[in-house]
Amino acid sequence: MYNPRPIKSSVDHIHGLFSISEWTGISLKNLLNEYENLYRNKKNIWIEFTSFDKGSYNISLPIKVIKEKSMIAFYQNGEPIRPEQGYPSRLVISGWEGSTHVKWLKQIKFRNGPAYTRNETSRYTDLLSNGKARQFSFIMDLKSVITKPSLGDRLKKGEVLISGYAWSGSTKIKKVEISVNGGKSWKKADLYQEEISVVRFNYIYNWKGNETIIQSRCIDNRSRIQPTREQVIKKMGKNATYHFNGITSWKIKANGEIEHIYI
Amino acid sequence: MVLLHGKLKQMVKLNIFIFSFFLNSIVVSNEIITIEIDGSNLPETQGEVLRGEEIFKENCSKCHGYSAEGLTAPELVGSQKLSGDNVSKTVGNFWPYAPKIFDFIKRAKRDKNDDYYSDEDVYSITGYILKINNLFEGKIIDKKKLSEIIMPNRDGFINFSN
Repeated sequence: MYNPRPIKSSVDHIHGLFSISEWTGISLKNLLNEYENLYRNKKNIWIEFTSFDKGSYNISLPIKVIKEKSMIAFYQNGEPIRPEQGYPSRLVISGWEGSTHVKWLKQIKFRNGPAYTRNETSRYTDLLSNGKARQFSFIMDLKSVITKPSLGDRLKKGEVLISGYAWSGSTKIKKVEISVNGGKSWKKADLYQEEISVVRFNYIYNWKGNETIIQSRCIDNRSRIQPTREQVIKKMGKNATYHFNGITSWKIKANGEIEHIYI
Repeated sequence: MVLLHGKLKQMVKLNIFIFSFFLNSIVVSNEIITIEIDGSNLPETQGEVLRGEEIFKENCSKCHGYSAEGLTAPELVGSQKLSGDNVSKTVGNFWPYAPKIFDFIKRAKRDKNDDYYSDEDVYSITGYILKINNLFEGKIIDKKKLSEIIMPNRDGFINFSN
């Protein structure tokens, strides 16, 4: 979404390979309590998680923040985590970027301060327009995405279901709004569940065959509104790569095809 | 966190058992040592920049490009600028700590037989990558020399974790 031109690709590709899952596992807090003697009374403890994968993927995270909101997951959507998703176990941290959800867990180590791994410096840092990069910016901010209709779908005239997801890494979603006229006006969408951090939203749109632009935006329990793409670019610059949370615009063409555009 | 009951609880317990088996038996015997930013844990050996060039041209260049200009894998050398249009983040202009180049090659890269590189080879490749970025001039690189290199972007990061 920071790209100078809108990427013509599927919705998950445009948004950093996002997906939604239900995870089951043990709370990291319970596991850490078993080993409290290793870190008790020590300051600035970070935990380095290392993967079984070929590149020995590793990332270190501050214990005081992740202890309460993480789990070692064994199940995804009710079945054992599949090999490509990190079997037998992976780290899952509620509301944080996917690069912290270390798959195929191999090694968990306490350390003093960050490890400054490649994935904490060269990757997953947000390069701002002044040439400085935000480091350890883990939280995924307020965002919503229409997943249906999106690239690959073809609409027929009449009632169309607009649906997608809204989430916030640090707060709860209060409301999702849909625009069917490129942001000129907004109407409230139905939420699957209110006041949680990830919600599914639905909206019925009576499409008359005209060319138009559909968008979604969400509002959280602190009354923050999901920003436009323009606002994100103004704040983050064009080279940040990660943590884009602006509004996505899908153009519906007269023939019913869907295209990703910037407005 | 989800509260578990009955059979699911048993299954989770079994998986925790398997998980601790992994932790106790396999992992400890094959521990990965993290190289620190000040060069701690770097091995007491050395590498040759010329040998690093040979290895790079033979193996790494297939994906990183003959002159490390980037191909299917990212560029390792390029322009110095980090703002404006067409910015590329390379080892030379973006990586903040030189010993971490050793760390990443050692843990993530493999030779043509798909084996880990020896420590000598990792030093050699590290030295070559630093040389093409004009950050190292010598022929032999070791723990002391690698630890002393100050990368241009060392102070280019803002800590966002607080």
